[in-house]
Parts: sequence; structure tokens; C-alpha cells
Amino acid sequence: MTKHLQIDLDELSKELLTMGAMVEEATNRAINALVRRDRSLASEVIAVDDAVNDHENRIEDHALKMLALHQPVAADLRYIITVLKVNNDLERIGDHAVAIAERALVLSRLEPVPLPEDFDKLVTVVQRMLKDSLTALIERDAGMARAVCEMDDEVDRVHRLMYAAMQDVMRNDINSIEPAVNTISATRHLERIGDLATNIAEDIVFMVEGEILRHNY
Amino acid sequence: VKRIFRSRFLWELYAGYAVIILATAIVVGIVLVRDAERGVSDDIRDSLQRDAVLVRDIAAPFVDVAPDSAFQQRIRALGARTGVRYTVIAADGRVLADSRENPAAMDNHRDRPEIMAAANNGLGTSTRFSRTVSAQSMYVAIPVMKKGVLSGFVRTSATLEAIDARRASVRKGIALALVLPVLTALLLGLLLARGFTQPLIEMTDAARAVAAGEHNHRLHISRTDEIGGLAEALNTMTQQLRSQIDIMAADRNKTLAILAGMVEGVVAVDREERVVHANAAAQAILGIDARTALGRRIWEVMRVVEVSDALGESMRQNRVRVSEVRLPTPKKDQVIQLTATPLRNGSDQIDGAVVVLHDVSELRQLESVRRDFVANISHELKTPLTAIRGLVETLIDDGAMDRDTHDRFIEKIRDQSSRLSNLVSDLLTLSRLESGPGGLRFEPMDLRDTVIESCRTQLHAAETKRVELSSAVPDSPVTIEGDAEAMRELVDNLVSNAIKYTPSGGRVNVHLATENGSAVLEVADTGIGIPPEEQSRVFERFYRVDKARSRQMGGTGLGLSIVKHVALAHGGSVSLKSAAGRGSTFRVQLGLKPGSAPRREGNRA
Repeated sequence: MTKHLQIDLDELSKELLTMGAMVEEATNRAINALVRRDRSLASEVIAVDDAVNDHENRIEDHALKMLALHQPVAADLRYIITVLKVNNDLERIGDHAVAIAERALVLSRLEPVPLPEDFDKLVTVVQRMLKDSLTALIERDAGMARAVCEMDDEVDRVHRLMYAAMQDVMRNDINSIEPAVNTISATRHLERIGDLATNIAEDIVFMVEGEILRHNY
Repeated sequence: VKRIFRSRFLWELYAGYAVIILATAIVVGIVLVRDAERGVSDDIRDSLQRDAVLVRDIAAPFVDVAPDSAFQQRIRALGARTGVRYTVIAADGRVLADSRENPAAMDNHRDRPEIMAAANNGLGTSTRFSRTVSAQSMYVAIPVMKKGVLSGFVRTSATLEAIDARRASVRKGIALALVLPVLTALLLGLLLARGFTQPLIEMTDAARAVAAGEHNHRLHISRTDEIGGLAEALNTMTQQLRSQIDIMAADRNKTLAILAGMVEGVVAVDREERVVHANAAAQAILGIDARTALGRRIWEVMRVVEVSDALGESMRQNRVRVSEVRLPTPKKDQVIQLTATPLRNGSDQIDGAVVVLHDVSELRQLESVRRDFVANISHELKTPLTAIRGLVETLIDDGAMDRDTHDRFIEKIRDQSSRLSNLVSDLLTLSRLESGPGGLRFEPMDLRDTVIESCRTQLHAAETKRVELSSAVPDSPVTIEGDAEAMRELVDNLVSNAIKYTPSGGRVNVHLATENGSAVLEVADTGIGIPPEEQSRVFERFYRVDKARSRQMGGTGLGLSIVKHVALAHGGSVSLKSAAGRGSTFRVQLGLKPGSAPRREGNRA
């Protein structure tokens, strides 16, 4: 492997991890904005989205240039391909974080509806999945990535429970329909973040082991 | 001991010496041997010549007569005795007698080189192969003269075997004589070389040990020459190195202890953004583990973009960079101030960066509390003032106001001004409390009196609102060291608050007791309660759970703040248990005056 390729790979890793950190932070902020009904926090998440999108473009640009310039093979090629895919997933997670922040803005103006206990669980699991998938990427840890894939079942289960809980809330109180609908929407975005974290984890398994896991989980 | 023989220096030193010794011995040996060998040849030739002269006298009478067997016998006997071969030859070369051979069977000897030389020079010698005895032989021949006429020759000869034997013994003698001193010299040389090499090896070992970090190594070389000096210098150097290292280690430990003890987080990275150091506070703030993080890129081990940005930028721009980052947690935001400074090495090149993480959450919180306070106080003061001014202006403008309205306005002005006065006196109380214990007069006092007195004065308000007010105090005095006035404020505020926020038909229960050496005052109501997320803030000045309702009830928003400050000023604490809609219980805990024995608790007062 040439030295230049190695330097470029390091730089690419740094950019991707920065992107991961930005998105993880945005997600955590959006969730906290929702839970704490903090408008300023929500606005921050929305404001930072442009930076996330710019970052995505930069990484894609960089990765494509590396493919053209170095024509890498085997592990390096898999790595760059994975970076491209993870980059894409991260950007979409960022979009979902923005969507959650927007729901948080709306919800902060409405009467609070009691969030079911499962919501905390959903938040915890999704945050964990996102965090672990990024850690697995850094450590190139296929085992950890597989564990993230397993967690997605839990997210789906809790998400279904949330639907039921919110339906109950709406049935009992006509006035709570608007906040409940917004809460469901936020939950849906959370669930999507879980799915995208699973995608990232699958990409990591591909990168480490060269085995395509997609659609197995 | 074995190692010394693997030393190159030993062999380099010794090889030259050994070569010189051996070369000298060989040269001396060769010269001696050659000299001795020449001596041996000369000796043999001389003795052959002497024999020839002796035999010439014996042979002289027979050389010019016919061969005589008696003569032959005599020569043979002579040869057998001396081991030397004698040959008597006539002038024409015929062999007359020989000590080894039958002369009749021998060739004419006139053409032999020694004979020819003897005929010409009077003496002939020759060394050549003798067919007669089948060996390399030396011959010496002399002429036999009779009255000046050559009449024959006498020849003596000896085989070189004899000569070789003599030579060998001479060589052996010389070799023996040389071997002993050479061996001694070699051995001495080895010892000498070892004497140089051994200390060198020891010093090398010592230097290696020092380099490997073993600083207690000490050389024991007692020599007064340069090697001894070198060893001494090495010892001194080791000692100084050790003390230097000790100083540095102590410094380092001090620095590490300081870093570890710092409230601020400190993270240092090298030029490639690899983590060099992260103290405990930084590990807690960033959620990293120094054991796994060390040596890895900072952006790999933590996910706070601002931190790696700050480090990278301070290195790139070579300047101190101050920024702030909010780390949201489920409870509240953690606000961290980041101060990133580039690190320079000895040659003033940027060698990394260090970032100091300063948790300014509390500072920001205080700032916002202070801002709120100023805004609140202005608002609280302005509301009654605006009302008073409006009322007064109406009174002035409207001269024809009827008596009832006039009285009602005056009454309202009185209410508003008393509210202002309450507010100002509450503020004064607060500032007195905040300015420290100097504003309070601590005296032994019975808390029961305060509680009973307070309940009595509030009874009217409670009855008006149809709230049942009950109190329970112990039989024995509950004595604390306290400011009676401040304590009255505390109890009044708690009780009036409880009555205010309890709807008609509710209950307020004041309960005083002693518990593990402290007085515990509990004021429980069945009122509207306080939601959990507000509970931590109700003790803040002007903080109201429900702003509209509180003011309508005539509160200043300072009551609970005063309660908290009084409790703190008395070394006590105040806590709150509440659920929305199910009432609240405020619990104040104060230290009892030492020596006042608490006793069994009684019933209603």
C-alpha cells in the first residue's frame, strides 16, 4: 500500500468519524430537546443540518477521488465503499434528527402528553445502536456490529408498543390528538434511525468479513 | 568469565601481541637452527678432515704398492671402530682399500668431485648420494704426497643421516629452549589483555544497564590509571543521571497529581492528534477511558466534534482557541468551555496541542438566575407601583368621585403599598441572610414556641379559607441555637404557603419532632402539589410554579427562598416531597443545641 493512500485513508476515517460524531450529537440533542421540551436545543439541531450535508458531500467527493486516483483493491476498496455507504446512512440519520427536532418544536408549544415508559427504552436502545455502530466502525469490530443488528428487533417491538400506547392516549382525550400524533411521528423517526444504524452495522460486517449481510436482519 | 573470550577487543589487542611474540620466536628459532646446523656440518667436515689426515699417515706406505689384503683389513677394522667410512685411492684412481666395500669391486674414483678437488687444491669436499651405502653422504678427500709427488688419496665420508640426527637434536634443543618463554609470554599477554578488556566489558555492561533504566548499578574497578578514571567518571555520571531522573520523576508525579486533581479536564494530543494524556476529569466529561484511548486518534476515542476541532485548529493556526460546547444530558445541558493551546517543542515547532475542558454549566446557570432575578425584581416592584400610580392619578383627575369609589381606591392603594412593603422587607430579609451569619443573633430558643405562635397567627387565615390547620409538638423543649426572628419567618412562610396552595376543605399539618440529634419540622398540605421537574427550582427567588396564580394570592415569590436561606444559615437543610395534585411536604432539619436532651414526643398542642 502506498503511503499516499494510507494518508488519504486516515483522512477519510477522520472525516467520516467527524460526520458520525456530528450526527450522533444531533440525534442526542434532538432526543433531549423532545424530552425536555427545549426549543433552543431543537433549533440548534436544525441549524447544524447544513453543516452535516456539506460534510456528506465532502466525504463523497474525497472517497470518489481516492477510488479514481489510487484504484485500491481488496480491503482498501471495501473500506472506501463502506465509507460511501455509511456516509449516506449518516446523512439520513441527520435528516431524521432534524425531523425529530421539528416535532420537538411543535410539541413544546402544545400541552404535554405523558410519554409512555417504553419511549425511554426506545431512546436508550436507539442511542446505543448509533453509538455502537460508530464504535464498531472505528474498531472494525464485526461482533459489535452484529450485536447492533440484533438490537433492531427490540426497537421494532418497542415501536409497535408505542403506537398502541399513543392510540390509547388519543382515545381518552380528544385534546391530546395533536401532541400524540407529533409524538408518534417523532417515534417513527427514531425507529428509522435504528434501521439506519442497523444498515451501518451491516456495512461494517461486510467491510470486516467481506460477507454481505443485508436483508438478513 | 567465558564471555571475556568472546570479546573482540581482547582478541584484537591480543592478536597483534601474539603475532609479534610468535614471529620473533620463529625468526630467532630459524636463525639459531641455521647457525647450529651450519656448525654441525662444519664440525663433521672438520672431523672427517682430521680423520683423513690420521688415515693418510697409516695409508702412506701402501698407496704405491699392489693392493694388500692386510691393509684392507686394517682400514675395515678402523672404519668399524669409528663409524666413519675410509677409502684409500691410488693416484690413478684405483681404490686400494675401503672400510665398507670390497675395493676390487669398486669403480675408478679419479672422476669423483672431491678427488679432483683434492688433486688440485689439496682438499676436496663433496656432498652427494653414495651408491655404496645408498645414502646422502659427505666426502672429504686429501692427497697423499711422497717426496713432493702425488701418489694417492685418502677419502673419509659420513652419511648425512648422522648429520641429520645431530641437526634434529640441535633443533629440538633450540625449540625446547624457545617454547617455554613463548608460552609464558603468550600467557602473560593474555592476562594483560584481559586486564584491559575485563573493565571495559564491565563498563559496557554498566552503561547498558543504566541505559536500560537500572540506575543502582555501580562499578567496582579499583584502578588508578585511565581505565579507573573512566570507571569513576561512569559511576559519577550514573549517580547524576539517577538524581536527575529522580527529580524528573518527582516533577512528573507532581504534575500528574496536579492534573489528576484538577476539576477541569485536560486532554493532550501529539501532532498526529493521538491522545498523549487525559486526566480523570476529562475522561469523565468526554466519556473516554485513558487506558484504551492513549496513543489513539482523539477523533476515534470520543465523539465531541468541537474538541477535536479545537485541537486541530489550534495546531493549524498556532494560537489559543477558546470555544464553548453544550453537551446535552437528559437532565440539563452541560456547558463546557474549551481552551485549546498549541504545544511547542524545544525548537519551537508545533508538537501537539492541549485542550482544557472547563465545566461552566453552573456559571451559566448562575448567570441566568441573576438575569432572571433582576428581570423579576423589576417586574415585581413595578406591578404594585403601576397600580398605585394609576389609582392616584385617577383620584387627582376625578375630583367629583363618589365617596365609596374613593374609599375603595384608597383601600387598594393601601393593599398595593403593603404588598410593596412586604416585598421590600422580604428582600431585606433575604439580603440579610445572604450577607452571612453576621446579620443574625444566635440564641438558645425553643422551636415549639415559634411553631405554636406561628400557627396561632395563621389560624385566622386558615379559618377564612376553610382549611384545617393542625400542629403537633413534643412535650419537652426543642432547643436550638437560632435567630428567633429568622425562625419565625421560616415557619410563617412555610405555613402561609401551605394554606395558600391548599384549596378549601384541605388540611395543613405542622409537625415538630426530634430525630437523631436534630429538630425536624414538617409542614404537609393537601394542596395542588409541585410537579417533579419544578421541585428543584421552587427555592429560587421569584420562581413560581404557576405565575398567575401565585401573584393573585398575594405572594412575593420569595417565601421559599427565605426558608431555604434561613435553614442554611442555621446549618440545616430543607427538602421537599410532592406529587402534582396530591399535596406537598416541606421538611426542615436543624441541628439541636448540644446538651438539650430530646425526649419522648407528645401529641397535639
